[in-house]
Amino acid sequence: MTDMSVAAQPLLDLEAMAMIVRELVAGGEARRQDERWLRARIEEVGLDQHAAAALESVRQKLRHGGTLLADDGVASWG
Amino acid sequence: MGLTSITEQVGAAVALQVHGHLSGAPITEPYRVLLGAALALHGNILSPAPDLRWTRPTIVSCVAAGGVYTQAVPVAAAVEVQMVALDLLDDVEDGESNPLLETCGLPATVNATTGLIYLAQQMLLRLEGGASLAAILTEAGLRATGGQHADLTLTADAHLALDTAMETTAGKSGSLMAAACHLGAAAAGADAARLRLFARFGFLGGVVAQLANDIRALAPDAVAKTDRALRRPTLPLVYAARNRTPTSESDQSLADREGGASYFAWGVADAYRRHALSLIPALTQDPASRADLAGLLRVL
Repeated sequence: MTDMSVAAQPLLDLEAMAMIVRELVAGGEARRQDERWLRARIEEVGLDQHAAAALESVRQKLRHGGTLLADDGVASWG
Repeated sequence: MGLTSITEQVGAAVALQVHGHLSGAPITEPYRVLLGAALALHGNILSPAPDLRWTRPTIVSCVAAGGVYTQAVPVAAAVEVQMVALDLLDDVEDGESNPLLETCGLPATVNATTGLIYLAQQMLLRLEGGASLAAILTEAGLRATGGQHADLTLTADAHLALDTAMETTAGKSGSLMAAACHLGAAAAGADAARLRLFARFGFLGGVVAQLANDIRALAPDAVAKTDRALRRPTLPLVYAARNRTPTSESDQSLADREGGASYFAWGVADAYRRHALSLIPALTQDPASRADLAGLLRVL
């Protein structure tokens, strides 16, 4: 059997990530340029290094635009 | 040698395996033709240009675990067959069309999915250690269909927890890619501890892929994507439901639309991708295999 114990454990604090993305978007261009604001918010809510790096990438994407996704040949269902 | 350089051989070997099992299956000729037609739909394993979506993680995991790709061909073939069945059922459940449904109708299509699931099981059961291998794919199928049930019965509204949407994603695709990677590593003879690591990597990669799929379905011009119309409880749509504004969405940029739903889902997917990438050094020392494993996550 496949060990799916990882599936039962929440890997991320989704509500905290959602709150930060919402604030990033609502804050407009000024907030999207403010790297220190993002670092402080991540520290306040206590996200791990992977979530923190992902949110920094989101900030960059929001700042600079461009496509979000790469190729489509990956394994998903539905 | 990386997978990219041998993709054609791998695809041909997996297709040959599927064709052999289909030819030898104890079924009538008309039913064999029907199953063959399902397996030959666009991108499927018996089509002229198979996308090898499920073969790739299986083979890459086998090679990364120290095997050679030919060892994983039989299990990759079984995964491909089961996934054709699940894809067809997904089309039926979402009210989407495909050439098989159009030409053969709903009852015959549903019956084809039943046969394909049995065929996938038979393909694994005939292998050495087949009962264990079949159990892995069966368990993944059960988890995936459980996730699908949540997908079909819940709706994306502002009161749904983000964790609930994530559990649906994890059940649907995380479990299937976990099984693909687990089966590939098992074909290479990996021990229990490494099998768990490969399954975990696959689970994380499956979540990334599903979130990418869910983000694509958000686009106003998304083709053959019914998530928004059916209010599926995907992570970006649940987030979007909480963040709708009275202003016209069409006047807003992608970044501002629905509170940046695409960006939120992208960020979550990227965090999962980073978790998966962090596992690669423990999976293999081989640089080519490391690159192939990372390549499975290259959707963001």
